[in-house]
Amino acid sequence: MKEQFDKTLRNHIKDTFGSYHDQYADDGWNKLVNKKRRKRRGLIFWYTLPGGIAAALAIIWLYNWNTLTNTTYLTNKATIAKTEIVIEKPNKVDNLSQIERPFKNSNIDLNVIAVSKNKSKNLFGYQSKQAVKKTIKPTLIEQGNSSENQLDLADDDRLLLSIINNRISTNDVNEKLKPESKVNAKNLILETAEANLVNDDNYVVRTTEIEIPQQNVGIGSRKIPSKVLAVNTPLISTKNNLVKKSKFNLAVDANTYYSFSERGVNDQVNLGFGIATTYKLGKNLSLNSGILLNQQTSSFEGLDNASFSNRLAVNSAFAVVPNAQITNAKLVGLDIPLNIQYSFKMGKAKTFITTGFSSYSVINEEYINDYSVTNYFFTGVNTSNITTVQDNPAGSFTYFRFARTLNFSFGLQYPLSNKNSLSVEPFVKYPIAGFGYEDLLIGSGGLSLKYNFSK
Amino acid sequence: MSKSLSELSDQDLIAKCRKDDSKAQEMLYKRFYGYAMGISLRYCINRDDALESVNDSFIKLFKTIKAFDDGRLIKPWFRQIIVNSAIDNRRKNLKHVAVLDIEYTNEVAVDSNIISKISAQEILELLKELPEMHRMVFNLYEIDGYTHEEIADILEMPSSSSRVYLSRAKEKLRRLVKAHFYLNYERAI
Repeated sequence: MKEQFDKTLRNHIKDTFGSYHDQYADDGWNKLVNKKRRKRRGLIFWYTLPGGIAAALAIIWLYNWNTLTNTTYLTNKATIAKTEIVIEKPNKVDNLSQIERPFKNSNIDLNVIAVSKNKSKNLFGYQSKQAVKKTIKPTLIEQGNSSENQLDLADDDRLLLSIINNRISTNDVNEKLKPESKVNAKNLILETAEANLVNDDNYVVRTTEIEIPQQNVGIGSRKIPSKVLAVNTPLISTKNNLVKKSKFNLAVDANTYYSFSERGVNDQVNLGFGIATTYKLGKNLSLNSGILLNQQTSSFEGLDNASFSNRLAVNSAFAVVPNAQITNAKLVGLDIPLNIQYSFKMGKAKTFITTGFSSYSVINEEYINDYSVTNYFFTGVNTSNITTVQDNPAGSFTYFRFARTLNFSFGLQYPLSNKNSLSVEPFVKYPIAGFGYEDLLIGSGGLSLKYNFSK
Repeated sequence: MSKSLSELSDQDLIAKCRKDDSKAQEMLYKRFYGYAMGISLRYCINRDDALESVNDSFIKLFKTIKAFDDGRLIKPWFRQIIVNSAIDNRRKNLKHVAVLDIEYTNEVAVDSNIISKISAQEILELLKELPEMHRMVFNLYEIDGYTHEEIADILEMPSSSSRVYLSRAKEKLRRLVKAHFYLNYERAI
């Protein structure tokens, strides 16, 4: 009896579920599609994560490497700086010892050792005035041979200009001079002396190599004679002879991002590129704008306003019912941002945060609708898929919409050279109003890479 | 003239699915959805779990369909995938399962004619009232044709336990059918 009951029950269950019908296949399919998207998005994330980490590490490494290089560069520059310029127009050599005397004593203040002029006489006795006039260059006085040269050239007519401000401890001018205390870098670092130095007279600019610890190189306030300024090094020129920077800067912007809407994140990676401009409002504040060509994508399900016209068309056929629909929207347009940027120095790089809004003008838009349609007209139920493509009937460049997204970003601007810099900027554009023919609320989030034509 | 997807045979759809044709995949999904749900619902506690299990099965199916031997029938192969997915799903949700036992009543003879009147939804309600392991073993052994040894492997337990669970499951079902349908049937008469 029991066995008979069990057998009957088992067979009934088998029969019932062997031919089981469920009306929610479309719903199930949509969930499957979403699940696959989520999985793919997860994969993209895990694939891009190592790349992102590698990029971040590369930036950090580059930053540290450049900082170290820069330190070495400054140290080297300081080492080959000069302590003395001897601009001379000698005829006699008999007073050299007097000139040399100050250097031979220890701890002598060498603020201005000697400035004298004698507008007569030839230089060196054999070199003509004209020959020297245009070819004057600083002569690096090497250890061991400089004293002889000086002996030959020194005179009471000598124009000796020392630009060391503070006391220099030395026993011999031919030895390396080492400053005991802070030395004014403006006055010390002299590398070149091209023809500007002299007009009418014949001068020889003498230099002596010294070592200047970097910490001792400071910017002094002492006034430098104009003739000395003329022989300043390029390093000093860039540091001190400040050129007034332009307030307006230009950059090339390329960005990759994901679009999102209230229905979720679209899994297509979009690209944008264009020109970005910066107008400096203050020391830390600037106004950013530009124009970017980009693409926004959105994918949504259901029979909503985006497919209203199509729904009507489908419903007009008797007993034909659209069950489910997926619309893929693709909008190509111009993004015109207006952002305020606050920046602050962080080592050599510049960190900044930006906020503002973007206006859009859609150039081209396309809506691809995938329907699943059940046709009850035939005997039995026939389900088929229909794909329709819808464009903007009003044509291109029809819609300009002011302030469509709120922009937030932060980033790092790293100088590549004196004139160029690169900035990496993760950003989010949150939709505040719709745009395009279907008035879609689409935001985006991604990474922007800017090549700036300024430091 | 090319056929529409709905007119294609299972084998043709499988051939298209092998080429990652998303439309063909959608059609295959809709064609086998009811079959898959019929199996999955018997194993899972609720509809959402069943659907999740079904979707997992289809993802596995689409992933492995390239290796599917055309000489075989797709339904038994797919059934195996669905059952495995349902059991995986059960393992995942094991902590959420409340094991409910039913009160034993005196054994009453049940008219087997009543059984043929039980709908799919009512069967699912009956199965839901079984303790989870009992339901699993009942489904695997009685409906899907697994042996006790296979069930022991799948559910990681001794085969003797499988036998005990089956026996208890059948007993409980008899009582449940009697409690839910026999009395109503008598009243109707």
